[in-house]
Amino acid sequence: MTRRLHNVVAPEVDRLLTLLDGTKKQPDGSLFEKAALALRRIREEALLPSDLFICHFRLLNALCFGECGKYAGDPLAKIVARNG
Amino acid sequence: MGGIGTYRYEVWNRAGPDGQAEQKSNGALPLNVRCWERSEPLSGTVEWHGFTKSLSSRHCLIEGSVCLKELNAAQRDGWAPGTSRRLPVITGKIRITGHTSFLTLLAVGVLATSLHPDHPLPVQVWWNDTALA
Repeated sequence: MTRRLHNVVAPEVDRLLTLLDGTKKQPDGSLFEKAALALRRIREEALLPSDLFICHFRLLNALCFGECGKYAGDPLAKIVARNG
Repeated sequence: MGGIGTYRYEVWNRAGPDGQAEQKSNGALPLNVRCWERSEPLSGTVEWHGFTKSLSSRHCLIEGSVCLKELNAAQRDGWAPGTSRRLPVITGKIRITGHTSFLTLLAVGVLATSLHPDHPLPVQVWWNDTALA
């Protein structure tokens, strides 16, 4: 089953949502899926500082692509500051 | 000012007081306006903060933004008459892809976590918002 967001066939959306809700446990190794898992770990786990840094980096790395960074940059900075 | 009011103001402001959009398109809205239309669903909310039920509006905004970039890069006349609500892929160099959708969702997730770190992400709402077309 493939979902659409407007005119865009987006199986990637399915994968992200399953990573965020915990249905899918392991990312496929792509930058984006690693970032999605990082977001879930930040939200749900008590991470060691080194793991926390890796998760922040993965989110930053993914959000540097495309248009989304300008919308999510400040919120990510707040998350980092709060966790730090 | 919100909703349609904001949209009309934006169109008027960009098109000028002469109703340039309507005049040039003879009623068929040009691509520029079609792109700006994509920001309309956002106008009733505070920037990115109504994220729980309006994921698709974020995607709309990005879709319009990417199309405008393509339009400018291709140096095409954005005021030429248009007929379709579907935005075209102009150069083929920038495309709305599944990855764009993925990043939109991820950015919304980061924003949600920033604003409400103790609340669960509204994943089920997002599932519904990306309903099968």
